[in-house]
Amino acid sequence: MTIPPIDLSIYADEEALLQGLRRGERHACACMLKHFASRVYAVALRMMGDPQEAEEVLQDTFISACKNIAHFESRSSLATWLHRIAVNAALMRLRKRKRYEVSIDAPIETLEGEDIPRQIEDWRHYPADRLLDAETRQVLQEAIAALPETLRTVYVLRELEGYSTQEAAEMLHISENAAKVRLHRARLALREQLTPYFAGHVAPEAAV
Amino acid sequence: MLTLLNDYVDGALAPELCTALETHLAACQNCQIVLDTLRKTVYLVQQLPEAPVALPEEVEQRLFAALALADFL
Ligand SMILES: [Zn+2]
Repeated sequence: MTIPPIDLSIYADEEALLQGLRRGERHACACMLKHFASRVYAVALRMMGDPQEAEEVLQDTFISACKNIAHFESRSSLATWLHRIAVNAALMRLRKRKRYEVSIDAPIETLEGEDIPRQIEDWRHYPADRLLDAETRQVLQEAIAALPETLRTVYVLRELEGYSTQEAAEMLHISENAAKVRLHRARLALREQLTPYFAGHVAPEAAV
Repeated sequence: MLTLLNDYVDGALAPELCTALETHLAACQNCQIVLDTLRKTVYLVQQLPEAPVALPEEVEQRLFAALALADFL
């Protein structure tokens, strides 16, 4: 546990912090990191599905934010602005990653037979209070991280980062229909992965 | 069928298709289960961003170092 040697609470509010950032104060930059780094890291983790690459996105984001603070318009909050930079930084890394990969992806814009649900165990009666405990969140996060990249990116943008299917399609340079198909496939894949976990946990008396 | 179920979950299904789907669901236990668990999956995932993510200490240290701010830690 380290104690900050310099007081980081000298900015009364976001406006004061912004003014400090615009004046290029190192204090302000450190303060912004302290406040927003964990949120940006969470976005980066969801987008990249890998801690090492998430860390690179985290650094890209704040390097870019500190450099471009003059372009920040107060119409949005600092958190929203950083979120957008983080998403863009993640997309850039994903594109770069793709360039060096030989594409082994089968065409995925159509729903094929493999999407037929295989797991029909019933976990509708899984206890509601346990649906989002820490263990379940971990299972969910791992299941999302394990999705193929083409599915995960659309899925994360649409279901977690607050973009519409159309916006996600534009960000990924794919058609809206392709985005929709990927979104559906991702949901189904997740459902398939979660089913054995939840079905194995349903108490016998809870299942009707 | 799966596109139908997904659109239904999103409330994006045309009314006449909704009616057709609901008629089928009433008679098909398997589709009901798939629909309900799909809906639950979507709901669960949407709750995720509310959950706090801890920034590992070494990740924070490297971030501050990358921005030449290590003296603030
Ligand atoms: Zn059916």
